Amino acid sequence: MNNKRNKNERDDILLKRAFEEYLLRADDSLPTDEEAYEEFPPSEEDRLYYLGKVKKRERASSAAKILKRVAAIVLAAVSVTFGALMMDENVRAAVTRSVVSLVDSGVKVKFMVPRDQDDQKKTSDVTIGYVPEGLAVKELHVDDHPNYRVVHISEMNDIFDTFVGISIFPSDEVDPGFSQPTWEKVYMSEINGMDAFMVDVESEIDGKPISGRSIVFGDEDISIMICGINISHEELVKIAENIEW
Amino acid sequence: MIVFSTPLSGKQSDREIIDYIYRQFFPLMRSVAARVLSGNVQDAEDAVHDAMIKIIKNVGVIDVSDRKKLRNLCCIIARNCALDRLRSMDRKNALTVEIPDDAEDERTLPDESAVSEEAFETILAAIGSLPEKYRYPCILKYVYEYKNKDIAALLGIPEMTAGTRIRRGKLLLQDKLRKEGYHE
Repeated sequence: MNNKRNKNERDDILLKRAFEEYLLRADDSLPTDEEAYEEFPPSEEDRLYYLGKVKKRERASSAAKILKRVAAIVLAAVSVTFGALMMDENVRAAVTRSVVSLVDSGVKVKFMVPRDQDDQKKTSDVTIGYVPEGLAVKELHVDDHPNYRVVHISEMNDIFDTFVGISIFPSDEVDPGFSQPTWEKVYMSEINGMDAFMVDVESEIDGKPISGRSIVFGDEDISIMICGINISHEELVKIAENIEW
Repeated sequence: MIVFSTPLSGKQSDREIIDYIYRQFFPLMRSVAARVLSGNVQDAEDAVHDAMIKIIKNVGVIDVSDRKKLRNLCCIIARNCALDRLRSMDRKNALTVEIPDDAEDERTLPDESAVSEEAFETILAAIGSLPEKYRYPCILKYVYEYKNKDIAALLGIPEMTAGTRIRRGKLLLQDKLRKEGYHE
């Protein structure tokens, strides 16, 4: 995982140099400022028009700032209340059961963006490049949803002490079922340059300690939700980073 | 004769920044847009209007301390808006802006930070042959170091699309490296 990150960083350094040089050379092909002025002299009317637009925006952003402060106070109050509720073991267990049930129900996640039609990827293009040692992969068929894929990674027994469920969807599927959770242990991160949100839950079921983790990420074509039970954060991230399309 | 002033210090108000951008670069933006739109002045005006509105909406994230970079940024946004207009009008025979495009040379480069001069020239050619929809977001990411959210706003695309295009632009360049046997 570290080698991949180091390689990405080296690539980015080279690309930065290359794009900067490219831009420097591209500049030579542009008209000079004097030529542009002669061809398209600016007008005072246009200038005042655009400055008027700036004034409108400044007024609007003041109102937005007040609204944001109010929203922040409300959100803080809700978070404190919910944090207090999560101290209750029954609430925590219910949250864990929800995470597990999400795997089996194949809950759809919607990234609310219109699709870029060129180079569109399909769920069948997705490959899972890493499986933790000792675990096996099983792909399930999802009735009535030919574009969905559900993959289970677990021990080759029925105990399922360690279990990972991967749900793969087209990103533009309409879904009312899932939205970004507001639990206190949700945090934003990144998987292979794509925004991701992660949830960690520690609880117990029937006296047995259990840890659940979810990672949700994707792009405009494909969305991935990975739910893991009794698997470390690092292993789950490694599985996520080795999913490609 | 117009005297082109020194860069801004970065402490100006939004209004002063837009005033500066208008005075310094608006004619150039119109010239760039007109080239993309086959010299059609009306369409170019509309495209540059779109570009100015994008700049105004995102003036808070624009770095004004480097005049040359700011000039290029305004041109990128203007050209992008002109291309959007062109696509929406479905005019296939418009001229495109001449950018030094060594795309005929398809050799690729190692992906290490220390490369030979010849290898570096080849990677520049690969960048030149990248489709604009990947090239512009990559330029804004790698040269201007904007976040995906700001790139999306400046180019008028959804944030996730911006991230996808940067990733795919990088993958396209790396694919070329791989085909030439440079990439690990």
